[in-house]
Amino acid sequence: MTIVERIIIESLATNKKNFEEIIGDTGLPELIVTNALPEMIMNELLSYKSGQYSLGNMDKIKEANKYVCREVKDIMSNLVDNNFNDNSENKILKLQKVSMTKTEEKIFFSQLKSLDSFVNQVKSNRKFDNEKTSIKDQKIVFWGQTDYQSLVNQSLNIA
Amino acid sequence: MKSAQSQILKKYMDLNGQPTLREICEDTGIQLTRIFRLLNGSEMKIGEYMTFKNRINKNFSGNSLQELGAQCDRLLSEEIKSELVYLLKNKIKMQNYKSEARSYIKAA
Repeated sequence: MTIVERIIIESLATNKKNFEEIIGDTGLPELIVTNALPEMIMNELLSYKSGQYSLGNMDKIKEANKYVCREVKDIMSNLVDNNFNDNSENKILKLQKVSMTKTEEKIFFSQLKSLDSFVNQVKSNRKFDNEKTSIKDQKIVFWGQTDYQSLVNQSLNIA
Repeated sequence: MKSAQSQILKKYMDLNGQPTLREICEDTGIQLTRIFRLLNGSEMKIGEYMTFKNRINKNFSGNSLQELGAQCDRLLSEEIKSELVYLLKNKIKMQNYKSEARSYIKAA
């Protein structure tokens, strides 16, 4: 599934929408939505009735979701490009190689855990909001770490 | 030398899709009977080793999409190939979504 199809599906997951509402919620250009919707209907990812678009065949959506790992790679790749092509202050992408002692590692994991709890808390807060925010205004947040060696090994194993 | 020789021959054969003796002869300029002997374990001269090495390097330096595609097809695992196909299909799909020519249906 492309990122365009993903955002449209996520937009329709909350409720049915007409063409203009999809554009408003996703922030996608009209041309893209005009081209994507018929293709998604043909692939049974969406259905269309009386001017309203809704989610299509759930088995087809599940099938399209099978490659979620590849989608994440695509998102990460877009994120890196986005960060390098735009210098606005809101974009943060940090990639650091650092040696940690056992104690520092414990502190680091504890910080990651705090961040995880905070994001989950924010997500659950949004469930109680009366006014729904547009899907396009959501933040893409990511975090993680790995050992340098396992990253190199992974790269070699799959080649 | 024997081990390096078998490695370079295997690499050459894999890269070129298991060519025939005649094809190797035309590509490398080494005599047909000599190639037959090399493939059957005769020890390579340093000049012959360098010829195979150069042909392999030349093969790898090809960077047109078509050449790279052929190399990917020969060298990469099915898993990686499937991932590349997925990536390329998605790139094409996104390009199609941006194309004015496709907007023949005005949704809703």
